[in-house]
Amino acid sequence: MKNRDIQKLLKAAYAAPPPGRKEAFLREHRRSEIGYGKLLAIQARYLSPSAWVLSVALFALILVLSLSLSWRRTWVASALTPFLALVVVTVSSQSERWGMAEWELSSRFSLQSILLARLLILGVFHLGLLTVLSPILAYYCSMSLLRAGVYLLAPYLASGTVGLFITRKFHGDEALSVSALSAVALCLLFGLPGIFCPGAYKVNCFHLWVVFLAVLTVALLHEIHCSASKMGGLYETYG
Amino acid sequence: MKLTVKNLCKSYGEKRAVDHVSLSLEPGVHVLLGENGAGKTTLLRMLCGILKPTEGHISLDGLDAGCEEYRALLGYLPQQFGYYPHFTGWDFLLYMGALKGLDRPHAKRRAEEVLELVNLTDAARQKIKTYSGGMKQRLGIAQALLGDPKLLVVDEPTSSLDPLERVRFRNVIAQWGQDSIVLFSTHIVADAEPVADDIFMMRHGSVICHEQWDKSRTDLETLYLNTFGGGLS
Repeated sequence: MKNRDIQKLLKAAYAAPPPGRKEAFLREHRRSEIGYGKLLAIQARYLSPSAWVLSVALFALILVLSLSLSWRRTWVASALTPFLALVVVTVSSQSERWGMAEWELSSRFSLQSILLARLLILGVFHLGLLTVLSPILAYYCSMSLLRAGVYLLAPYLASGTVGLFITRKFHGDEALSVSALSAVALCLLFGLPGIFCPGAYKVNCFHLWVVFLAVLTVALLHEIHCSASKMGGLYETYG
Repeated sequence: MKLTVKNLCKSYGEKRAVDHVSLSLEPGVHVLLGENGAGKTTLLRMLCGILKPTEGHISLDGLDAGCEEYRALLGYLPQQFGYYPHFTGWDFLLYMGALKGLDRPHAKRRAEEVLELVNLTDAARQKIKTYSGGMKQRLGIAQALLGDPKLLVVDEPTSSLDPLERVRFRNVIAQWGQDSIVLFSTHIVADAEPVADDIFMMRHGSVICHEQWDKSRTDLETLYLNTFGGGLS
């Protein structure tokens, strides 16, 4: 009889029992349940302090400049909000940039969850800052709260969308540099009409801003989806 | 407890990084040896759920690799890694402990224990960017042990360690291997010899040699050279 035949007979005679230990094994090594709320709390606690400090500093700068330049408030505030979104963009790529992705990938959460948590935390914080800024701008510029909110939100979403796109296509410090340049470009894009075409910020053009905001919202959601998908396959293309 | 790897493959286009690898590992220290580009890191990343296999299956007592329960039992030290610049050693361990699902008091207790194991207690409150290469490596080892893993996967863990720390690490690994499955890849044969329960040698993505290892043996380097060295000795 060949060895292979003997091995087959032995395997059949001593077949492994069905996997009945799985539940017992899990009970013995049960870890505590952790939900998305806990992940948000973890990320909020351990987010880089510079992200919070920079956000507040930029908000203060926008506020001070808007109030001090009495005749150009609207477009000055509008032109500076792209830099606020840049903070979110830098945080979104920090796992990859600082070599922490593999640690986080092997944790109980997916890297997509961690990215989305960070975007949500900083996005909500910035929304809060813009919500504080909007009524101030509305009051000093004698415009409705809605108009003030749209003039602040549109450049913010534009910068966030472009920044996330750039961090998908470039890596490391190169991505940051190109994102910063894009924020400067958007600053000029929203600022120059204030000098050369003040009508862009008048009420009769407001409907165009609303359409623009709707398009940017969809574009940003698409970019967030693409960035999250990329995070999931971060090492898939590595040879 | 058993880690079962069946017919595992990972392809990148035409290139096959891992080629039909099958393993069955029980608690003990299992060492993966091989040349650069043999596929060790790719294999370890698949075992940690970081890479999806092109073919094949990995399970730990019925738990599929990549599922949350599996990753809750996993401790992993990558070959290359970094740290957030604002973290101290202590912050890093608490952050990773939180991501592993440890509640804060438990994470603090475990952080103190693992820092003691790797001799980093005094430096724990310093920023990681001030650490030497060896200290960063030891912190990584501490992180891998933080969640009391039942499957410990370490990729080139001793490359930055001085001789004394390498002995300390071997002692930690040998102790851990009594109750858990430890799989570590290394180029340094001397680190594997005194702790390994078995040795797997990889080349071109396949396991070409598997040997049950007696810790009293000292001829692993000869075996390695005979397998890879083309007659060099």
